[in-house]
Amino acid sequence: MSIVRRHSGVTVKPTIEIRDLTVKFGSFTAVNKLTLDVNPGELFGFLGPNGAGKTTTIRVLIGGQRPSGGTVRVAGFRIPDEFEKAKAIFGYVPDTENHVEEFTGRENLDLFARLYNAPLSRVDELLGKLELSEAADVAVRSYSKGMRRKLLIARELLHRPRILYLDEPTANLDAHSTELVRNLLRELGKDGVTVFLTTHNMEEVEQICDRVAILCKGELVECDTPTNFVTQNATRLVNTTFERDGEVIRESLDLDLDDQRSRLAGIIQDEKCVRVHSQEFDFEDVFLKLTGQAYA
Amino acid sequence: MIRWEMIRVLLDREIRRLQKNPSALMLIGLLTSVAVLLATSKPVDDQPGEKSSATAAATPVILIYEERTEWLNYLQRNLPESPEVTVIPADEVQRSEGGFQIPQGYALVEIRKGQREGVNGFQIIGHYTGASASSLKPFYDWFWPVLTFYHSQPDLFEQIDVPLNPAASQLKSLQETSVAELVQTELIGTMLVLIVQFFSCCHLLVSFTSQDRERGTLMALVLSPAKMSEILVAKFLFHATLSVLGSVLIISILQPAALVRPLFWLVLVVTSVGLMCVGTCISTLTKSQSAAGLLALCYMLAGALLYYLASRFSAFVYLKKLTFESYSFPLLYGTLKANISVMSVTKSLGTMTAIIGVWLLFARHSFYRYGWR
Repeated sequence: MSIVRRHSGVTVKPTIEIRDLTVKFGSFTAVNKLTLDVNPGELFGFLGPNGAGKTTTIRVLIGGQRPSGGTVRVAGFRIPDEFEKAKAIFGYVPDTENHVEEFTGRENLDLFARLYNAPLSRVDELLGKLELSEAADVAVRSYSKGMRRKLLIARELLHRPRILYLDEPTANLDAHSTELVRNLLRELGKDGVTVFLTTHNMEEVEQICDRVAILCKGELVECDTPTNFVTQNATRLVNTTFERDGEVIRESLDLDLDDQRSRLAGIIQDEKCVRVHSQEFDFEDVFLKLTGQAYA
Repeated sequence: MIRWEMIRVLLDREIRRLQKNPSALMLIGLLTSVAVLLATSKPVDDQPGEKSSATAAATPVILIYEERTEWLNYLQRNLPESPEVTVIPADEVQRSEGGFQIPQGYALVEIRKGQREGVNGFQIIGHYTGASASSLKPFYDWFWPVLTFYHSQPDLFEQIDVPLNPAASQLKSLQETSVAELVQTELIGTMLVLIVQFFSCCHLLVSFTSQDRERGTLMALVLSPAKMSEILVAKFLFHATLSVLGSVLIISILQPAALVRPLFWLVLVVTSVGLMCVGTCISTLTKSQSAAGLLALCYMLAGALLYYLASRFSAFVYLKKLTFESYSFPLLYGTLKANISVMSVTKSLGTMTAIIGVWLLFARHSFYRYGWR
């Protein structure tokens, strides 16, 4: 089934089309009737608490898990039936490193460059881009977790994929490497590569994702841009601290409620205010609220 | 369609991986050393330039029987070129008080019905000439493999060697025979080759493939443009080559003459494919490398147990016949002994190939279905 969607005012055909995807492991339902479209060149964030079904969904997208129900199309190819045709156009960075441990970083990339028929100059280019040139000739078993992760990203970019799946791409990376990878993902997005990533890092989602889907207990909770998520779901709170009869009192007030707005006006007017400030409400709060784990 | 350029890249990966895991090469080196030691420590009469015990095999043998049986017919159809064996009924041999009257220079082997551990069996009584039973060795070298190959219960047979003159006979059972007398180059060669084959095609393949699965490397390869069939072919080619090279190295030391026999190569390759299929099934159906290694070991031990049970209980004989190893062992032994022809082994080879064909289908299916997932 080919769906045409309007995205940012332009008519585009989704790169990834998921319809009623269901994955069951015995009696346990990991993904339940998930329907989702991801457009070309989009940086798409896939969020959810542990066990929400994110990795299972990615495994279905790469053909590594047979769905129990529903359909999945990647660049028009039915998955898993047309997996062999589809696999040449995507790259997959799994959540665990899968290098040949005995080989050096360069040997690992060389092997896949030969399989992908990519020029060997691409190996050096990517080693440089991910700041691994100095460690290129060291066995991977000596690499730190962050270096392994970067080598994995380098490997999956060798063949210039049209779609890149990343399962927690910045896990175990230091601040500098995290920024390096984020910039790389932004560049890929600009070059028209569709990036589908799962992460637990809310800051990352806000910074780089065009759209975000939140998954909880295998079901899609909501799918929108990070900005819309915050504006539509944020609770506007003001924290006040004031003094009365020598006692310090703290109150948190919801600006969306009439009586609490009046109460705030009363505090400012009648009490001896020490501090009045709005509470920052970011994407993490939205995530926690939507996944039912928000603070009371 | 298999792309050989892709196979070359995948083979290169396997070779480089082996280079970085020298333990596998060390084991093959160890087995080769055993072969060298055995080859250099043969009995004095096996040394070149002297009359060997094999040459003594030229002693012609008269094989007499009380009752004609199917297995005897089979033996008669597969008589060796050397030693000369004449099969005749017992009542046609003249007797005297001193024993059988047979022509000068002949040894006599008598097949009698007898009891073996409470079960009806047969006694193979070798009446040897000279001071020891060594003159009968070439006969037994032909007789036992052919009998074992045909008969499902070789344990029913007991070998007893006595001097041709029964008055001076001192029964000497097989149990009393020294180990040195039992050691045969062909038997040792067969054992070593099977160990190399099991190690290269089953154990090493299981180890490498399970490691690939556990680390996720197999998934990375499958997600690359390499097709699953190409990955499987590359693995099979690599392990089969390793197995054949190791086996050839050992046989070139122990029994170089076997290398020119096409049947030897055929049995070697077919057995390697069978073991690789078993290895592939084991590695794809287990979750971890350690579990797969353990299962491979269990497979080997289960095979040995089945052989033992089949020698005790006839019900297990049919089960044993469903294993391709029950055909490959005697075939390999026979090719090393050079006392079986292609024609006489067609049925066994055909059955073995059919069993391996089933394993191959199962291995392919399990690798495609569960191999990397």
